Amino acid sequence: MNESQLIDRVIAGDRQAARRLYDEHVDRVYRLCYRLAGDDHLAQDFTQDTFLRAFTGLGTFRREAAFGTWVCSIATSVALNGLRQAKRFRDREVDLHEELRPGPDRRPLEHDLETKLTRAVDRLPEGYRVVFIMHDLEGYTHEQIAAALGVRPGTSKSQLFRARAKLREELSEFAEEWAS
Amino acid sequence: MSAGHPRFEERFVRFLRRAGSSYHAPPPTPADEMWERIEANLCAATDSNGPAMHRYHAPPPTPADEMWERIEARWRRGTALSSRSRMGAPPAPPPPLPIRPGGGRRRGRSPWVWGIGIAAVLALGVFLGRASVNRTGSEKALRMVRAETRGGDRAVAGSVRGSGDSAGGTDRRPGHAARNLAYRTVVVEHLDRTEAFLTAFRTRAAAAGSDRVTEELRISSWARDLLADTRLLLDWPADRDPRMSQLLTQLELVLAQIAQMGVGRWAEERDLIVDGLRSGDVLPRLRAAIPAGPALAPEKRGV
Repeated sequence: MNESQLIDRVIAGDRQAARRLYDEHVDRVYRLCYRLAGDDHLAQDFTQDTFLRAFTGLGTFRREAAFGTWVCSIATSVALNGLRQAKRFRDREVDLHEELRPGPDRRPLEHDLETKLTRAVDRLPEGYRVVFIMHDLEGYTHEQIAAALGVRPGTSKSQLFRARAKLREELSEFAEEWAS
Repeated sequence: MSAGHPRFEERFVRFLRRAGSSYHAPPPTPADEMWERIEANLCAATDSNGPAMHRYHAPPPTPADEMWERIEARWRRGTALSSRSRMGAPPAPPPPLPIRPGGGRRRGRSPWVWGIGIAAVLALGVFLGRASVNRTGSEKALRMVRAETRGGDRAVAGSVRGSGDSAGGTDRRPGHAARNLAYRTVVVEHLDRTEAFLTAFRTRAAAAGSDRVTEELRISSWARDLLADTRLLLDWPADRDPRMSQLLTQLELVLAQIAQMGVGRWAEERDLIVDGLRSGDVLPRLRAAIPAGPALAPEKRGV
């Protein structure tokens, strides 16, 4: 059974077909959500929300692109919106803690490359971070990223270029690791 | 070997991929666990009306006629008022010219005074015109957008239910037309404001002001407002030109970047954003999307 037939069956209410479609794409969706969120609970929530939206909105899927691309665009949108909400709550909590905690020792120590890289990637503007994660860490092509984010492939390329430039700047102290 | 050298770049990308593989490295996908919860959601409230998944946020029948009557009534009232004021009502007789005790024209008043007076009246007229346009049309439309986006999910679910006959087609119901009309009105208004903002942002990027922090906070707050409106428009269920969707998405990205710029870190980030604006042709595309003339005259633009 090809993907289109599978989709028809899901629309008709076939739960097994839905499970097959889910099995084919869940790993990619979960990995992307996890990379964006960095938290298992959030990643699971986003993945579930993505598939629920996909299954309930399957009738509106025009099939011009592959189901994988479509579901990935839903996942990106769900994850980014969810993260914005989570960030708002987190910021409030952080503000409260910062208020309560006295003293100058607030910044965590940054020793190794991993910590610095994580901080640098976290600090990238959202658009740069998404493209960097999708392309360099999860192996999406610029065309797939463009389709998922609703931008042109050229935009994806330039965002990646800027993301890398910013990371190079932030990680300049490790230059000898890649320059030698 | 310089930073721009291709081999250097290649090495850096390899390094990034190697080091970055640990960035938010996902554990094995808990597929079964998630499926159980998805299925439970899909199975909820099963009845005999069809597949359970179609009933996720299932909307009640759309009260299209009822809503249309209200829209039409308000629309008519608005049109009647404006047409009466334009042509229906007889023009008010001009107020009698005040006769000063001395009679005749007062000598010695400079033509400059008259000039300034006329300019002030003109400026007041333009201001009132703009204010009335912004306060009436766009706010009404924005309220409609908000109401629509609140019901957006339900509308999507509704379209899923009726997808057999309407998928890909255009809904010709009068309520739908009114929704699109309001949408376009608001979009044009919004693009106009965003263009003004981005132009200001770009020029301010070149010249740092004296009270930098206040300025940065002000711009961030402005960007957040525009970002909220952009997202509202992106979520609004209306027939949308794909190019407009693309433009709004691009604006969302740019505005989000500006809104998230940290105070004190502007110098490094704003140049990147301004570069992005330039390389993405954002402002020319934005200007091309704004029709010439007053922001709110959708009927005349073939909406």
